[in-house]
Amino acid sequence: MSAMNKSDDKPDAQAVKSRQRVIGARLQAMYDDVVRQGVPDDFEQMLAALDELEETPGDPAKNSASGHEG
Amino acid sequence: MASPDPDTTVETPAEPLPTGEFKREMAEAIPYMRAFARSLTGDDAAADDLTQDALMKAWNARKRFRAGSNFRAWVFTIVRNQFYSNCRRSWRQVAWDQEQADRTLTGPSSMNGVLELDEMRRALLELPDDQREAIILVGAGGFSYEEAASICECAIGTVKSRVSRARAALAVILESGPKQRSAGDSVRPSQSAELIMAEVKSLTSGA
Repeated sequence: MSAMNKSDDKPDAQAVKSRQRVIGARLQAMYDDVVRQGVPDDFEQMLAALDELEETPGDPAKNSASGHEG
Repeated sequence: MASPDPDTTVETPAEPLPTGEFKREMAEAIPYMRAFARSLTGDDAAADDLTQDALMKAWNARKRFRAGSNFRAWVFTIVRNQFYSNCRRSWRQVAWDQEQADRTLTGPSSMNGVLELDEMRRALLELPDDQREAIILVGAGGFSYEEAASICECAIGTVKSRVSRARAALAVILESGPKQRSAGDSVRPSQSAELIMAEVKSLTSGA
């Protein structure tokens, strides 16, 4: 930051840290931007459709009879 | 973590969640799954397809989920596996044309604006897959190194080094500007670096 040096190409640790903080904040913002959209309608519909798949009565937690897994 | 239950001296065998609870967990995880999928694919539509595929996989495997374990980590593992087993190459090919960029940018609700998010998405896509998933999980998803390691099926030290390489690479990519787009770009290298520095100032003023 001294006025004597006109260019100091080697970034000091502080600057690197600051920049990393900005990148971290952006990354978080990008991710949160999607999270904030919540559950879109087609996903709600998909969840609702699972209800209809789940027609087998009885205790679903204990009953592994219909264990049909991919 | 839970205090020992006097009735059960031995650990109870892991039980699956009741269906209703499982579904509630899924519903709560959806926004995060989409965010993760978005950063893996770089494409809105592909991300939603991926999320739906992963949800179906999770649903079919619900009896294998152990009550009390970390649902989000479990389901992220499924998203990730699905991503790698699908033909992700084709997603990557469509990952960044202008039309898609316009769609993506319809509604960012915060930050300084679309530019930063746009840039970050593109920068992420330039990272190797292993670094990208690591930085997203740890840097944005809020997972510990340990959880990220379990999701990525690798050692904790590996996650740490991927994250730090990803950080370094992102800094370079963001400061040298986009390499995939050409003339007419909204962000030029110098401008990009200025944006970062402006944010640095706004975040560190007073420090």
